[in-house]
Amino acid sequence: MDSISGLLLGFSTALQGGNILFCIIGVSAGMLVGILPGLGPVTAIALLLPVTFRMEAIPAIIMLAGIYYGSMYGGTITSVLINVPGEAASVVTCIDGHAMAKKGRAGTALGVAAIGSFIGGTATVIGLSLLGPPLAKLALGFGPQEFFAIMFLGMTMIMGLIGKSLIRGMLSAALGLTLAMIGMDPMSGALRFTFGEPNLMDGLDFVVIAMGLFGISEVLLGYETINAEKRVERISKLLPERDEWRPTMGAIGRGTFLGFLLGLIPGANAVIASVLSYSIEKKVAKDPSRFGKGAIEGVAGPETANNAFAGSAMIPLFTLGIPTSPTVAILFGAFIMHGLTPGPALFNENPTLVWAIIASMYIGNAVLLVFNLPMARLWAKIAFIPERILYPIIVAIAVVGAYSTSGSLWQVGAMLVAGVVGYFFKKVDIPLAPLLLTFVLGKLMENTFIQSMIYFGGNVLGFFARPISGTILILAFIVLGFSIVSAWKGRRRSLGSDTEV
Amino acid sequence: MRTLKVSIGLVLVAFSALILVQSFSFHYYTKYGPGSGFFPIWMSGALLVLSLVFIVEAILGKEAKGEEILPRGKSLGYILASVAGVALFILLVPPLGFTIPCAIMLFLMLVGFYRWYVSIPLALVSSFALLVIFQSLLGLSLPVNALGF
Amino acid sequence: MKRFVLSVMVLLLAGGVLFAQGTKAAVQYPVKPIELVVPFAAGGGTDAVGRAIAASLKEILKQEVVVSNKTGGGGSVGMIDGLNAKPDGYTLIVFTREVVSLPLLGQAPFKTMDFKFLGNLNIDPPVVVVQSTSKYKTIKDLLDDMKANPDKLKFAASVVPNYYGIQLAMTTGFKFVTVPFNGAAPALTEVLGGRGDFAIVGPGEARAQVEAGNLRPLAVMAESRIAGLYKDVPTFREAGLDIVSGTYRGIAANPALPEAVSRILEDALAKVAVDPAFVQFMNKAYLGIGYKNSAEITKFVQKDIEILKPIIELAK
Repeated sequence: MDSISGLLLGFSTALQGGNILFCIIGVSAGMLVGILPGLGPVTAIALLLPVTFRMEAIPAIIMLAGIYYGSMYGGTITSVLINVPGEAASVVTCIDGHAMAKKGRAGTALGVAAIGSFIGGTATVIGLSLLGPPLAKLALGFGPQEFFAIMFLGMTMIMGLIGKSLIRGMLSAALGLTLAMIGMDPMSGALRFTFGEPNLMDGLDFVVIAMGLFGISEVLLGYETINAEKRVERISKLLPERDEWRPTMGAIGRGTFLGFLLGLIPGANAVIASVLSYSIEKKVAKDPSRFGKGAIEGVAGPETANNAFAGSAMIPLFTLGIPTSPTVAILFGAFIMHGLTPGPALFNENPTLVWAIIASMYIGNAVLLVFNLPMARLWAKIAFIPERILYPIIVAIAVVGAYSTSGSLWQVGAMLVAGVVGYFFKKVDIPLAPLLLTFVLGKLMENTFIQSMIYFGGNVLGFFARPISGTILILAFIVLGFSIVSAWKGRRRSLGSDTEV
Repeated sequence: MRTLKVSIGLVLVAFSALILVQSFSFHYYTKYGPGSGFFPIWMSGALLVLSLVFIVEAILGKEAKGEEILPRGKSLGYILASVAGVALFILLVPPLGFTIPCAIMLFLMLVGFYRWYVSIPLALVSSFALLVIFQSLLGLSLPVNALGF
Repeated sequence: MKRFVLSVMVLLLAGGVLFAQGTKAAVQYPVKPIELVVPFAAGGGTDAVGRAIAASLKEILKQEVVVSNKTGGGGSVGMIDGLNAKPDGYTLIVFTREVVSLPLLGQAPFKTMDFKFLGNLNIDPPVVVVQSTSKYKTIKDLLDDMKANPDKLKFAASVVPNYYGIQLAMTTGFKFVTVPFNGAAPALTEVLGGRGDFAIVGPGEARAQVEAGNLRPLAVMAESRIAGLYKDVPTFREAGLDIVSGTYRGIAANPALPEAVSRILEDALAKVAVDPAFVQFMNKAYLGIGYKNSAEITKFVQKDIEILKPIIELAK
């Protein structure tokens, strides 16, 4: 089936009453969790996953996907208004977005973010519709060897980009990798590092760790400054000034391209997309000194990039059957739960479903633009729930969320420990994003490495005998080399400044 | 802050050393390729080295003035209350079910800001609302007691 | 104030417990919702079977049956939870083959025969599949090649340790390379992509690709042929090899369950097996219905311990 007829089929399914309703519910819920600090799309999808069990597969996945890309829009609002990123990918938006808000231009910051998000989101969905099927055909040739190479590349990109200090970034990454080793060993199924605790046999739970490291630690840190005044109430104009349109559209265009490319690479995540976009905009700008003081490109670029990323990250999910980021990993689980296996065969087995989801993403992005532009003033009010009320709610919801991951209080305890660890790590500037990413990728990397080595008969050079895996690995070593060299020269500061999550 | 850095470093050194030692009890290499000890040895080894570097960096680095590990006064109270609240929740759920421990947790976090006669009803109502939302509307199974709350 | 609330709570609780015990003596069962513990996450095969059983039990017993997923420990956390629950019939467990394998692996805080097996409802013998363009037309082709080229053929295993693969190697004496994957889907992708030579998976897991003509089923590890899509696929016994294996799922409880309650539940499970809604769901999900009553499944489990013991010894 070609893309056009597939897309028409998809629209005819996605536009049915129930499906469009669940699309709207999904993006609204996504917006909400994006707005609420500490609650991210991962938690929201994980919480709603059991609920969708009784639903049909198509509306269920349309809704869950809506939460995913909807949250990318919502995260902007708290970043701009109260300097608290609603979700990790919006961290860089805080820098110039909040600076704009302090100048009374919060409306413009939110408006530009909404427009950029819409363009980035829609453009990559177009890319997904056009490139999805051809990629699906190539995908069967991708073995564990190629997956390992791609994940290795992703890992080096994370290393090269996140954190003020290479040592602390690597420390965080190594801890994530080590924690990923807990549980059953992929080779023989033997237990490793479980210390006799049955709850550790299946490994640490990603959602629990993520809620602790990000949500709980954010609340604990927030209590330190809870009595300080940090509100901005004014939301003025929504559109940029006339002379700002050109640089803004340029930033949106670059952000779209960047987010789209990074989304295709398993191992990258939306944070990397927004961080990289920010640093590119700073390099491209005529007067880089404006950055940090309310440069409009500093909002437009990263916000576009993280939405473009969200759309494009669905391509490897649909075509290769591999999740590229923690949130997509949970979407992957949703597919499995509904008896669908994301991967090469899905386009052939269930074209209606795949195209309906793609079509729903066009619809969802349009809905989000409507929600965000005219309703920006209204949405902003939710962010004004006082922290003394907001924080207990966040903690209670996180506790319930952690409990329901496996029906055990043990997970609540694990989340609390992760929260305290995250709190102290943030204090000494150890970035948490590498930890979480390598935790997700670590097990996958070990699996694919062992599988590849069995195929190669134990010869590690086998990777370079395969054209795709060889090329990607060489690329990865180049990236790694560059980031080590630039770290050595101390230039990393300009790339990775203020990306602590 | 230097004390905190060194302490975190030491905890990480201890953790990675523990994993590293255990890793050696698994096969490093088998007939078919890397064994179950291969990755853990390298990963925990890397963590061990990086933690040591982190400690050295912390000791040699400049100590920023005016920064404290924990805040003082009220803020410290809020932080301790929320950590204690979650811990109490874990301890009290097995005998009491979900709603009461959740209310106690919320009460501890609210009482720093509101008087007790506001905090108690607020905590009870929110806790019950959570039960209704998650158990009845969202269909999650929460750890309720014999009476169903 | 807090203390007051607490003491009221304790009093109420005590009352609740007394109330529950009072009703038990009169053998009016069930008088309140039953909790069915599924020891695996929502979305998996065990969860699907558990929810289907719960839905039918609810109709038969005229009482709410609530499914709760208690995961961890490869199934042992949920199973031990159910085993330690009060023996009043209000907490039941879905048991799986892990009830046998985990204690043999030394990974479970219980013994297999600690449980009271009330009835079995699902049995799925695995199928050996190869790519449909493969040179292996029959199971004999595959085994001959395996014999001629020891340690050359790649077995894409959907789980490790893989009892099916070990049993195949043990019975035939042939050697092949096991490549471990995490689930049937990636293992089948390996076979489809031509990197793995064969896989051994559940009939439902391979269904879509067998129907689409991408995979060819060669043999089933069952006592007799299975109906439907795989009706033309021979068993290993037909090929002269005594290889019978498979997963099974049923309902178990604390052994101290009162005789009367146990009988009510056993009868109810027999009715579940023929409940049209249950049968329809199982067929749609391609899960095999294999009802065994309490005595039969207890004997079956005992026999499976003997089958798995040497396999797991080898796996360790």
